[in-house]
Amino acid sequence: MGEPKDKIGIKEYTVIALLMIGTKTTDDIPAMLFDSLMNAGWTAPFIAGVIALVPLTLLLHLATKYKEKNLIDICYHLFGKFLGFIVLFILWLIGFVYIALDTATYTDIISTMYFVKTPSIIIYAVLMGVCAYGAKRGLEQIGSVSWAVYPYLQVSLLLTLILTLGQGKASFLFPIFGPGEWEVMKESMMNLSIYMDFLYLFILFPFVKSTTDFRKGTWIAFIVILFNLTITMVSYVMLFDFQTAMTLNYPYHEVIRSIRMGFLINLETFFFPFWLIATFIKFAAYLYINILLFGKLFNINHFEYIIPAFSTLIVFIGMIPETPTFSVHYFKEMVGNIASPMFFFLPILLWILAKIKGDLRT
Amino acid sequence: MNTTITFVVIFVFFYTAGFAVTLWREKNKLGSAAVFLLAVSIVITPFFSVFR
Repeated sequence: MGEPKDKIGIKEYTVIALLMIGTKTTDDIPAMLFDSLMNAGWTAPFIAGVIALVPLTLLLHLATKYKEKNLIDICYHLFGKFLGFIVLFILWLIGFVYIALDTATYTDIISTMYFVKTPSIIIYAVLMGVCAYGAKRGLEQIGSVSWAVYPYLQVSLLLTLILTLGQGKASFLFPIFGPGEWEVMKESMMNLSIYMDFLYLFILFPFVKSTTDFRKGTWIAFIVILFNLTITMVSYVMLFDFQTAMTLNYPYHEVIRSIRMGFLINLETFFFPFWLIATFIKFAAYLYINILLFGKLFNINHFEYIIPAFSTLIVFIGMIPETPTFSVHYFKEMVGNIASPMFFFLPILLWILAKIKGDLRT
Repeated sequence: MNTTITFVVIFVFFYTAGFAVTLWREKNKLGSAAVFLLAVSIVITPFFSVFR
């Protein structure tokens, strides 16, 4: 495998971005937002998205200027070899810890909501096994599969949203700013890490066919994600009201259990497989990018040989918390508090350094 | 269950350590050290999670 030989096009890149970030409202991210923002939890992805425009615009500006260079090359070029290594190592570590925590959450979702009798280690091993196989197949295959299944995933989400919004009450959304405008702004800023994956996606820049494809793909993905995340959060508040939503750890899975379509009940049996496919693709892409970064950091060209080690280690680390529903949630908040400022300030710092070096002059 | 996990740990450790040796032979000492550290952590972490 090694680095991809063929480049991926705009549609593959866009759907990879959509699946990596768009699935975030189906895990415990909504619970985190409702905890602090109550009924205004739905505003956080939107406001965080607006704030994320700053680092995203700067990243895309850098991408246009440094053609054929990805985040790794730009970091080494602007920070120097030593500092660049440190910055990238921190990025890799945040990514690795986040994958371990996120997979632990998804395993917890599957084991507490669907396969209650199956040991968590089996579910975790199957999840990581499939994702490791996906990552081993390489970026082109991840992109092709993403593109093949994305329409079905989006339609299933749309169907969930239509049913949820139809059965919900719009009055639950008010007052719009819940605990207060300042609190909403502060929490949105602290949850900026929702969009941090765009920083990791910048590593894939040289493997996308053209700079235009990368720019267009990023903007399309960003707009669709912003819309998806906000509407999904709105649907949770409208269906449950914020007091119930605050007590739910995985609102999406409660939603698909609660909604009904005419005489059809237990709709989770219909929506769960789609969610599962999105989960496999999401973690395959995460794993691929994280291993690619590790390989670049330590000059390992055939990084596919460390995929089994990474997946096994993630399973063992993810199994450490005894009560994942609560402890992983806490650890994710901690990682988010480190990742959010990094996502905001790193592109700004890179852009300023590029400006000082005179690389942005055309 | 523990026996299966032990087999997996041993297999992945030797597979990864073998790759670390290959990297060492290719004169990539930093990469080799990082991969070997990865292999060692695969042996250590189960004692804090699945073998607890």
